[in-house]
Amino acid sequence: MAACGVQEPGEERVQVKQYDAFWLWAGVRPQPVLDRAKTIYVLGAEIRSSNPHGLEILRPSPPTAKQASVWFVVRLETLNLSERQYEALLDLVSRWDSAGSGLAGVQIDFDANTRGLDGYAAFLRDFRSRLPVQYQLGITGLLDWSANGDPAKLKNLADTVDEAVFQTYQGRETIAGYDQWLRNLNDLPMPFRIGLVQNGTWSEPKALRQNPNFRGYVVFLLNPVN
Amino acid sequence: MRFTVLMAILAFAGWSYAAPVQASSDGSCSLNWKLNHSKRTPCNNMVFLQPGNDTRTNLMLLMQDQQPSQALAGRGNALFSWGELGKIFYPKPKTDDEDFNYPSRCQTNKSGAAAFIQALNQAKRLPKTERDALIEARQSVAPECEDENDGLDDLAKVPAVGSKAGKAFKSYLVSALAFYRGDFDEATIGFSSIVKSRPKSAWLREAALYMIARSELNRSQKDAFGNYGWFDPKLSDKGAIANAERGFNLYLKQFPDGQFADSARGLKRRVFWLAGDSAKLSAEYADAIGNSSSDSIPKLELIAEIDDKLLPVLVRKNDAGDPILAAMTLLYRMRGDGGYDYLVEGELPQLSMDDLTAMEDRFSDQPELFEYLQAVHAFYVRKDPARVIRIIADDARRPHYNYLQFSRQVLRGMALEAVGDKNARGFWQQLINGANGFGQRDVVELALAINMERARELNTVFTKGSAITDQTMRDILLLRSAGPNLLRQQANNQSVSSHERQIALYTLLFKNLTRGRYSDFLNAVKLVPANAEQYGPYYGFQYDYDYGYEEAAPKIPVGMFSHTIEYGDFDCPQLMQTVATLNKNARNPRARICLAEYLRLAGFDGYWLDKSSPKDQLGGTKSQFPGEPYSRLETYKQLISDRNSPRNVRAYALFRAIWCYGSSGRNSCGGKEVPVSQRANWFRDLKRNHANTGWAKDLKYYW
Repeated sequence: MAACGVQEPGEERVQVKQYDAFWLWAGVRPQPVLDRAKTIYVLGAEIRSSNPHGLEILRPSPPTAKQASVWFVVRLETLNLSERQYEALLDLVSRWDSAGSGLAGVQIDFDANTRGLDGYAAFLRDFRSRLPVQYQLGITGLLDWSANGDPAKLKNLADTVDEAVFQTYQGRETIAGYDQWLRNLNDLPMPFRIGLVQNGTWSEPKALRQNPNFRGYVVFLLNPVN
Repeated sequence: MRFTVLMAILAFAGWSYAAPVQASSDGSCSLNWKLNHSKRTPCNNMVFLQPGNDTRTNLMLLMQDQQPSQALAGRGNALFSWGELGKIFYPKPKTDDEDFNYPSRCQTNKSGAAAFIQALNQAKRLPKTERDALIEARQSVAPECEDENDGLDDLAKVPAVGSKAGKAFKSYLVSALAFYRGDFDEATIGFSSIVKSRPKSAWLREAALYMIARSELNRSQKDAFGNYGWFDPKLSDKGAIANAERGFNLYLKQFPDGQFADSARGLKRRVFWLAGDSAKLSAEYADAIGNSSSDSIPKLELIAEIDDKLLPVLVRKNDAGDPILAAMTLLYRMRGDGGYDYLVEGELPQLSMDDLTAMEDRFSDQPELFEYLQAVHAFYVRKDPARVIRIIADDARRPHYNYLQFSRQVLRGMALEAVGDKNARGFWQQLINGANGFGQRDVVELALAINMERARELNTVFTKGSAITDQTMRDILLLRSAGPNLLRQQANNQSVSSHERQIALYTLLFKNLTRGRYSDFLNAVKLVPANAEQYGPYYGFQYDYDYGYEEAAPKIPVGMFSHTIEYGDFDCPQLMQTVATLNKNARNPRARICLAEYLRLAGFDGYWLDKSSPKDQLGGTKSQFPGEPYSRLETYKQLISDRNSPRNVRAYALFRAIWCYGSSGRNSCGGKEVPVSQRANWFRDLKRNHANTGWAKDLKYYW
């Protein structure tokens, strides 16, 4: 597998040791760097549109790491959750909370498209009202929201969530032209992080650090290629 | 009893978790409107076998062909996610009474208690007081498997008994409690002693035998969990795994139709997985998918389980004897660069022709499938479409196709296109007649639509009785590729849907307006209905999202062009008046700045219809609409340097040109970039020469 794309001058590969926040997805073997991480977003469950009553558990047991803030990540394929699914999800959240040293928050991973931001905002408001107040609520975001999204709709989202993490990669590679997309984030009205992929190419756009809403990076860990 | 099904799927931590449907949270569900997908993307599965499909899609298609009598017909979508197809192939009966169980060994407590009590009630020579005491004790325990040693207190609830039968049941209860609280050493010893003592109760004999294996299985994985909820089969106890395998085999030999037989078979898969025995594991799966009568595990869950548990093993060591599983793996191995999922560990070399030939013996019963895999290798790996045409014979005149037959012909068609064969269109036109299996017609429509677009014969797509009936494909061609004549024709065409007329009209209005065709715009705008949607712009088919509920299709906002909602900072008239002025004199400075103002406020900066589609996709040819995309920045530059511009027009053009870069330093107005020094000059120009305007006073910075 050719993991080495063409590298532009000035671009560097994302080295995990330079970061302190990570995504740990299902099927990805934990790496030593997690032991000194400050924040870990761990994929815990998924709700599939093909299973209207179920909740797929994606980890055999809750993480017990105590040194880092742990976020419970749930992937949603649908926003039409049954009461039973909400119940199962929140039950799982509380199991995770008691397993480690407490859960920092819940991150929702849902590929809302630009057109669908309205429906998503309404869903999140409802979800927030169900989530015990001690947890933060976060979302993953897509780069094209900032380019094509209606600012008023993005503001709706911003009022509901504590942070968004924007993904700059697809599969094992950084999305080409990410810097163009990122420039749009200047007008985004919510605290955000940038999601990078381990060993993906990356050079930090100058304006990013100056953005008062920028909260740092989250690196998506991969299983090693070699 | 519902005991068995749940157990086989869910009962054990370490096995019971699934893999995420999409490999990672990796971008959007964008649709790539083409046939050739060599890498997996979430929403670009198609109903022919190809490397870019999710492995679960390929597996489902292969499994469908196993049951020709149940073949589904009808329209689907050309592009979809695997879950959508799963819902169609394996619809789930609506059930509301299913309790959600957190998957752990404790979830069988309820069914286990019921079975135990039933056995007690059937037991002979058991004094009533002992029976009642044992029932009460069993009913009073509800282990949750949450904390270690959870349930140790329950031991105190176990009553004293004197009869032989009572002692056997008590011994079972004590062992079951040990099992639930995670003391597997104790549980195995207890259940073994029950088996050895040959109790009178048939249920006890059977259940205790089964429980030995189950307890050993749990014991094997006790130490395989890490800090982050990670389970590593390599850390499991090999001795206990071997015990479990022997135990389940013994159970199945003695009780082939026993009440735990389905469960034991399911757990054997887990044993093989823990042992890393891919050959035995694939044999079990092959048996499960081939066994159409077995409902012990729902097919869709089985497909997901195969993807989770078997594929990662098979991609390294393809020793599946079953042709379907072997084909699924080989298709995966023929993905393009970087097409492997993020969770594959280690390097996977490209599949060579020799690798493929070495697998030929698996396909002795399915030579057409092997031939197809060779053709896939020629097309996707060796990039040799001519070879595909030699391998796969023309068979486009069948009345019906199963998915393998269909895949073969689609790949042949793709190869004909790739070598530029003139008969490609004729081939697709024949194939479409028999493409009536579920979703097949949609694939051929896409092939035909791309073919006609490439030949610049869009009119053929839109003639009456055209083979291209998929509305999204027709929309793409109108929005992206059509010229003014075709758009005008479809905007007026009463024999197509109102949606299509509006799409054509919207595109015609937007492109006339931004490409300087003012007279045509004024003619077309007469077609806008009075009650037309005014909120836009339209983003249409760019994304396709399943919210889990029906969402009203977005209205086509043709009313944006007939009604101006906002007037902005410059005293502009209604858009129609601006265009009427431009129609008389396209250089009128005030009308030009008002057109820019309209496009700014309407949200057309960087609009997607002005960007091109990838060349290999539908809508990817050069648009037949003459003219270039509009740029506000270019308009402002011209108005700034034009001596005829009125002072307020020039001042506003300076203000807006500077703002093109505000507040991020990024130009949002299109056109040719200007350096910061130029923006600085504009700023000074505005401040110096137009100091008395509100714009000069408002503007504090440039970017």
